[in-house]
Amino acid sequence: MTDAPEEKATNRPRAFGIIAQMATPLAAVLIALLLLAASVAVAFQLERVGQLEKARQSAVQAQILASGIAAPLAFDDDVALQEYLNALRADPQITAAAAFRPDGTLVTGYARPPARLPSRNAMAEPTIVGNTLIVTAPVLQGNMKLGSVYLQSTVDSWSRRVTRYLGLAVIAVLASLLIVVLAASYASLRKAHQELQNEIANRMQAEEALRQSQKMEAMGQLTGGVAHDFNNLLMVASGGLDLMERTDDPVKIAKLKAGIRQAVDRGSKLTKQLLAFARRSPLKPEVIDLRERVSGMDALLERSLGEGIRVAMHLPGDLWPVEVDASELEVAILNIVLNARDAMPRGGVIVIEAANAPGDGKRGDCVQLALTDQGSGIPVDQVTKIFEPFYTTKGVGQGTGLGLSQVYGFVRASGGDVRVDSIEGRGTTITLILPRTTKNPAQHVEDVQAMVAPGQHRILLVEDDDTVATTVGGMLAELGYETERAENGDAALRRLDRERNFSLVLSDMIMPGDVSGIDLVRRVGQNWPALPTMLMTGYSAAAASAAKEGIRLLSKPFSIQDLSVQILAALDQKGHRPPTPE
Amino acid sequence: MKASFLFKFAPFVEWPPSAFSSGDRNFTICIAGEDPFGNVLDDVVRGQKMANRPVKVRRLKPEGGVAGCHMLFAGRSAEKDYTPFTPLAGQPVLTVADRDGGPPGAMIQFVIRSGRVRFQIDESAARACHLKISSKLLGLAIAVDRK
Repeated sequence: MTDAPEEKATNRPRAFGIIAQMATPLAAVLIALLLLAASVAVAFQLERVGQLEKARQSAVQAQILASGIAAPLAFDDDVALQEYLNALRADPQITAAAAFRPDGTLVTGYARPPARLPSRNAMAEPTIVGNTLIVTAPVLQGNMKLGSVYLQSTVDSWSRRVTRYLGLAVIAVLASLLIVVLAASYASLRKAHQELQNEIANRMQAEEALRQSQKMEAMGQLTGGVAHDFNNLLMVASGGLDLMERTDDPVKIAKLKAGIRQAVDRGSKLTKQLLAFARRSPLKPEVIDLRERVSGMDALLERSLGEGIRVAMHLPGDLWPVEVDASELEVAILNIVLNARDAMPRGGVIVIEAANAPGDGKRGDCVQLALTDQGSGIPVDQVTKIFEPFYTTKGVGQGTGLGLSQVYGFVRASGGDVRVDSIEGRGTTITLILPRTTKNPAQHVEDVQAMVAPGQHRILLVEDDDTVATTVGGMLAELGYETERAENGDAALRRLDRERNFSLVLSDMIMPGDVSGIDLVRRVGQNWPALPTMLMTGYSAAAASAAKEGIRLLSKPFSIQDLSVQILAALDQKGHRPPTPE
Repeated sequence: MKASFLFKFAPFVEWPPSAFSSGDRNFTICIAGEDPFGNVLDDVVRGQKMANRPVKVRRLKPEGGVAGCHMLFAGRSAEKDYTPFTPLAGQPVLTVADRDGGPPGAMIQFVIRSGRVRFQIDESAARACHLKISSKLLGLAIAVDRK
């Protein structure tokens, strides 16, 4: 489904990669060539400048000579003339020097072999022939031309000049080679890096796919298990109803009702767990007393464990309070106990004990809750795996591999840790280490009784589903509230515009129409700030977003007790004191 | 040889601007007494220029003045009271004569030394007449009189 964009996305970097791979060596070769060309150019430029310099020097020398020999030349003083010319012999590069009369005939001069003096001097620009530089200069005094001088000097031979630039050339060539070698190694490194990156990406994709398929498999197993459980629950409920119709014995009816209630509770718990698996619901930590919470689970545990398995609790009274999500704690204990049950097919005792663990240097004060079974134990090589999601040793329909991963997620999210001690064939101890809190536990009200309406209140019930509306309406009537129903958000808003004497708006969250439950709550908050609102939902994702906005929320399914408590809290919060009967 | 020398002295000497009157467009070499050069001097200076002026040779009559001369070569003379340089005292005229046989008082005097023509220079006399003689010429002279 997503193949096309992915392909496009991976092709582009690959194309870039090829260009980049080619670019580096090409650039290096180019730079090296440029470097070589630049050094050759510099050498030629130096050479040219050097020759110009040499020509200028010679011209100056010739002029000095011309100026010096003006008088001797004019007055035929050969001795003085020779002295001037001989002074130039000191310079070994000057191979010939001579003075000429105005008519171009030679007066005197010298030449080192193989250089030869011209018989006549012709004025010309400085010229270089081979290794020879020839410079002429007129001998002038005032405006009168008294003659000319001729200077011939050698410039360095090609071999000498090449030798001079050899060092530079070697450096340039070595630098170019270095650049090419570096670039080549860089390119190969880059290629290796690219391959590594591709490899990493491929592996990550494979891992992702593996996880996804594992999850799908687990979901399949979960669905099977849940369907199986649900059928049992429905069996209990429908069978119970059938039996209730056939009997008038109040004791029997009460028993059957309790059974149906239990089945429905379990079903609700199952869906809650399912939703929690589907999407991790946010933790709602509260300060609790572990002794009270865990001992309150005894009935549930006994029910879940069945025959042959006994739970023994050793919970001292002076346990420190901990701050955790109470329901998650219960789920975690349930998950551990269920695993313990499965590890003891022939029955046994599960010991739940708790103790305060004063902090050492590494961590602060903790409360340890240890659950020990007498089961088969966990093989050493699997101890590290048991908290991995979807890791299970149970058959299809029996386990999802999510139970212990929930335990791990719960303790980590609570700032605690979990420890496993197992001896194969002897049993396993799983210890939850939960950090102590300095806060005091809230007074837990056990077995909340349904609280009737504290006076006359009209509640606007917004619900599109007729059955749910009837049930909730019935609950509200039972509690003593007057109820009006609106079928959707628009209708509710119209109703509120007409009538103002409502004490509360209780709305479903997902409804057909333009105005959703959240929209309705927002609009009511804007238009009638004093009117309290409450949402009902069975959808955890929507619930999370509503909770983020601080909207009062009732999770379906809810009991009449939950409903009464929440309504009272909502009325209380907005200052709706019950009107006094007087 | 002397004729060529005589002419070649000119570029090594610097005349004051006052020496060139605006009316005279020539550079004049005057010769007093006997003329030892004949046509040679005329040949040497023909077509030449000094200080952008064409060079002329003027042979003075015994009774003639020296006005307009820039150089004066005085040759031998049988005349009594032959003092050709006297009227030039203080004037910017380069005076040249043979040392031996020529009239005394010339700034540059030709001397024959080992068969070659050389010269000696009375530099202070030239300076007194506002003439600057190049050190190149002074360096070549066999003797320089600097007072």
